[in-house]
Amino acid sequence: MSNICYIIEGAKHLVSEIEQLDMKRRKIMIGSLIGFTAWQLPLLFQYFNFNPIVSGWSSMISAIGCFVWLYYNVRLVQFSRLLRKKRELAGPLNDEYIQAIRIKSFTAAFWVLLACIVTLFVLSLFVDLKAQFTLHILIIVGVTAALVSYLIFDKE
Amino acid sequence: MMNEDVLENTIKVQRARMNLTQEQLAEWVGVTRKTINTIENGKFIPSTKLAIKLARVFGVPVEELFILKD
Repeated sequence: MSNICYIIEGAKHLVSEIEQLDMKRRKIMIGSLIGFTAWQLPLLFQYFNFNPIVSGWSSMISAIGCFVWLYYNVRLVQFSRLLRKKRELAGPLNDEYIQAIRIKSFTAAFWVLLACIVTLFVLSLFVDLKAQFTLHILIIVGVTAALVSYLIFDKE
Repeated sequence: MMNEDVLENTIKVQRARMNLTQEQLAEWVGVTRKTINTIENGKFIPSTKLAIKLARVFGVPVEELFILKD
């Protein structure tokens, strides 16, 4: 009887740990998204800004964003290592629902990116767009669209 | 005219019968609580494998757990 109680208590602990790790993963993704956006958007802004004071501020915000993004990437690597050590947690945290959301979010990001490419192409017919600026926008849109769509689909 | 089939489930009822929380059920079938919640609310249709696992936990046939309505 005491063995059964021990097993049930162990299962309860495992379930709580899965729930906590799922929330942790979501927080890491949100942090990474905020960091990436804070890092890249000011850099994009600098294509149009020639004021040195504003440029200085935007560079500072961008640098902070870069550190935030790096911090959350390190946490993501630590998270992956933890899952490799605790294999019993990896399965549930990568179940069919998560896999379905992942595919859905990549699909959504693809269409968003395609819409962005079409928009930029049409814009280029009227305005002279620099190649570097265009590619920069596409990188930002590609990364953020995938993350944002995943977070939206993952919400209960 | 094509009618859209609706898949309903009795997971909540079965859970209440067996006094199981979503978390406990999730642990039994190897998914997260969120997955069980989305299946219960009809937002996600589980695979055949997961549906059978769920039915086994409750000791009922799959057709009793998931009902296809025309």
